[in-house]
Amino acid sequence: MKIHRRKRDNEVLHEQKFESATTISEIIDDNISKVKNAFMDSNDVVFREFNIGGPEGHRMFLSYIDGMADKILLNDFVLMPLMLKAREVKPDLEDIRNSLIDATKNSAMAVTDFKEVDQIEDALLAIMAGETALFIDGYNKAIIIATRLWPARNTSEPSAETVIRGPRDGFVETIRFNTALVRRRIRDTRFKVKQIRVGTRSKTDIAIMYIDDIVDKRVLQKVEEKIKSINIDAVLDSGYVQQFIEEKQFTPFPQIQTTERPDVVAGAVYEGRVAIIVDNSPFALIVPTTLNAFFQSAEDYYSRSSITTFVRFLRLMVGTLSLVAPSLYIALTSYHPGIIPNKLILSIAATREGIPFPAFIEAIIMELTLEFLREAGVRLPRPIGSTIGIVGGIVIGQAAVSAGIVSPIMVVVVAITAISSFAIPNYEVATSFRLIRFILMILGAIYGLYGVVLGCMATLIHLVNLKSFGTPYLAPMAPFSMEDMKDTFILKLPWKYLKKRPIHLDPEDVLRQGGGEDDSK
Amino acid sequence: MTPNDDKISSIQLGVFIYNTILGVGILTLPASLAKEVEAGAWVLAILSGLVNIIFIYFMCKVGEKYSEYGFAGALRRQFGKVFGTILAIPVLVYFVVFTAIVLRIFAETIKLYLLSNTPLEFIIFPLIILAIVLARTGVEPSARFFESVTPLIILILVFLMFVALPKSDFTNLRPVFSVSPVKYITGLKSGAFAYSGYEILLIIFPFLRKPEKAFKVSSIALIIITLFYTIIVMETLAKFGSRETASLIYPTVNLIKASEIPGGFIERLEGLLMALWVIFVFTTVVSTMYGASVIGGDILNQKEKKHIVSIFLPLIYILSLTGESVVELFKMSDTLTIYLGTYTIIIVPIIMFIASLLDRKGGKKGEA
Repeated sequence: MKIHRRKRDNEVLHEQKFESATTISEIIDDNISKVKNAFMDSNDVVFREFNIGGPEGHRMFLSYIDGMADKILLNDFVLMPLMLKAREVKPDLEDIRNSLIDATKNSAMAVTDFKEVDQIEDALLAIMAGETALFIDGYNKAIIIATRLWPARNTSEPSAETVIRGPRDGFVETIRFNTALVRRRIRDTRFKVKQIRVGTRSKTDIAIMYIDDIVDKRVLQKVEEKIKSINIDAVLDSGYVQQFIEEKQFTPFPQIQTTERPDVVAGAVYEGRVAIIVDNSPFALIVPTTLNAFFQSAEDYYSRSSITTFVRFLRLMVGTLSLVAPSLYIALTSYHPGIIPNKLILSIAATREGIPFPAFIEAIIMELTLEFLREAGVRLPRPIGSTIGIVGGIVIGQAAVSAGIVSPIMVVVVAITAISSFAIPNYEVATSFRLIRFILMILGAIYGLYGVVLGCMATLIHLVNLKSFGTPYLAPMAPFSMEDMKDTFILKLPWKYLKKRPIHLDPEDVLRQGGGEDDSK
Repeated sequence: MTPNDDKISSIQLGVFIYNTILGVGILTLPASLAKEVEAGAWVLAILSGLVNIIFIYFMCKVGEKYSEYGFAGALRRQFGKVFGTILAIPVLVYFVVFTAIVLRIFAETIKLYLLSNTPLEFIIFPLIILAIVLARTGVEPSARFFESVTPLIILILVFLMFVALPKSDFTNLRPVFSVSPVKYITGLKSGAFAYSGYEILLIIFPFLRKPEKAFKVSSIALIIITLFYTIIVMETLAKFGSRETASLIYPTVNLIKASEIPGGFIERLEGLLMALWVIFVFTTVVSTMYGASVIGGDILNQKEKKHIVSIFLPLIYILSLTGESVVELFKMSDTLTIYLGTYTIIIVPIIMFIASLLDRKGGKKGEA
């Protein structure tokens, strides 16, 4: 009961605090009590009161969060000059006293970046972001010193999108590092990084990145509107933002591309797309995107075009196979055995002789086992994960067959499906294909080949109706764009021939080669 | 960012026409042509294609002039509200009955080659539902669907052409004048209807971004189909000879049946191709259904076409299940083409064309 009441009191306090912004007063004790009140019961906040110019000198107060601020910087370049160097000057010099604030800002503190705020709330927000707030007696502003420093992961190779040829750096959890990784690749003043704060409690920074004279302004406007309209207490990962700004939520197909690679983000921004980076998330979002993009890897643009074309063709086959392989097996063996060559159907029939289940049940058992194994493998720690792989491999490959649960041909089908779904470059699309595969299997069991075709058409109808920020999901195939055929599902011409940016994105500046003058000239 | 105005580009129109024409006609085409002129069937295929370009011309001229009014709107403008509506109703009936017959022929064929034990109702129903789902989304998403299946359709057609080539005897084809010209002219009446489907041009003009290019694009689409039909007829004649071709019900299927893939990769090719042929039929059904809903919406003065499509669901479903046998079905189909088809494809465009010449004011809304 008591706890409950206190909670309510806190809520009231919280509301008051945000309803009326309080200005910083000239009396330092007021400010100290306000800050201390706000951070009551938070033991990780440091409050430091001190006098400059000896014990009789001027009162100052600083506050920061332990672990998020750079203590060395505070000690050596803020406190040291203020407390020690100040004593070397005679404290009672009247004009220093008068110009104390200017002296503090301009000659005492040896830090590159500070700003002033005149609201307590702004100072509190800065403290929570890892900055340090400095209050001076008699001054109605707080000086915010940029001292952000916290333990962060180093840039490492992205785990989900590895390449053999191409850069190896990947995003981390700190937004500043991430924007820097992209900025390093775009030395253009027209490249913009616009920051918005989202989350009523988490106050997460979200950076929208684009090149001003390439991006389609309507897309940019839509992105900004949608991000600003997010009203939630906390944003923990870019996945939150993704779900808020996607047009259709219940489809298995992602309408936003996620990537851990700064080179992919830079490439997308150069094409006229908009990239969104969310603090605390190593996954950047890219809009608008098309199904096409999910079948491409960063490497496609670094290696030889003929090889890329071949690889993309393989991916198309692989994508189709991972969708329809098990359903085709069901349809062919249970409805149209006549289509399979005679010798093969005889051997299939022979191996299926002892199997108690119809083809559909057999396929469902094996596909589900595969999904179980995959899920188990992802969640387990790496050393145990490989054990699961071996055990699972044996179970799927050998034991199930000799136990008479499934036929060897089914094992082949499942293996093909598994391999092909891993060969799709994007994990999210591979997952959506997994889901649709099961629907196709059911349709194949009901209607045979006709059902499989119906299911594929239904999927296509769905895809046709998807749009990612105004760009049709199947562009540049539908609507067809001849220019964009140079770099699509299958074909990829050498860079020399890709003179234009993707037309289906409606970039303001279409020419990639021979256009767009250098802004430094 | 593409504008959300539900209008289609010229390429999309071409694809629309192409996919609408390709449907059930391809299965029976060689037989119906061979019945008329025997070994000259391939000439008739070309002639019929060319004749259809004339009607496309009439439709496009009228459509361009009244592109803002739509089909029923143009008729009302030319002939007055009541009479215009009366003139439009048979076209609506044509689209509905056409859809039903296409669905029935489709279901009968699927039953014959793929699902011998499944009742017709169960074959037709999911296809109608899917077609309505797509047609409800509007003409632009439908066009995008057609576009995305086009590579597959082209692949199938090219595959079909090459796979049927071996073991053919091209001496079965006869030169142009081995058949009397009179026979060609009488044969045109069944030949020309093999290309039906482009009458969707009547209703599609309000949805075009560039109405002035419609004639060029749809003629190109028709010429491509003429070429393809001619090749199929030639290959069927070469394989079976004219007399046998005329006696077959689905000569194109028989053509596939008689051919085989080298290497024995697939045993019965026609099974697989029939499954993929579902896409051909689906595009036709979506297109004609949409046509029906547009005319229906115009007649009822409804702006929202979405719900009109759903109204036709039970009607088309029941119509597609009437009639007992395939023989009866083809009789019905012939009656449809003779009366309603002639009306929709020939009479209506011509009278509209003549009326448009008399209508000096022109069709632009601003001037009216």
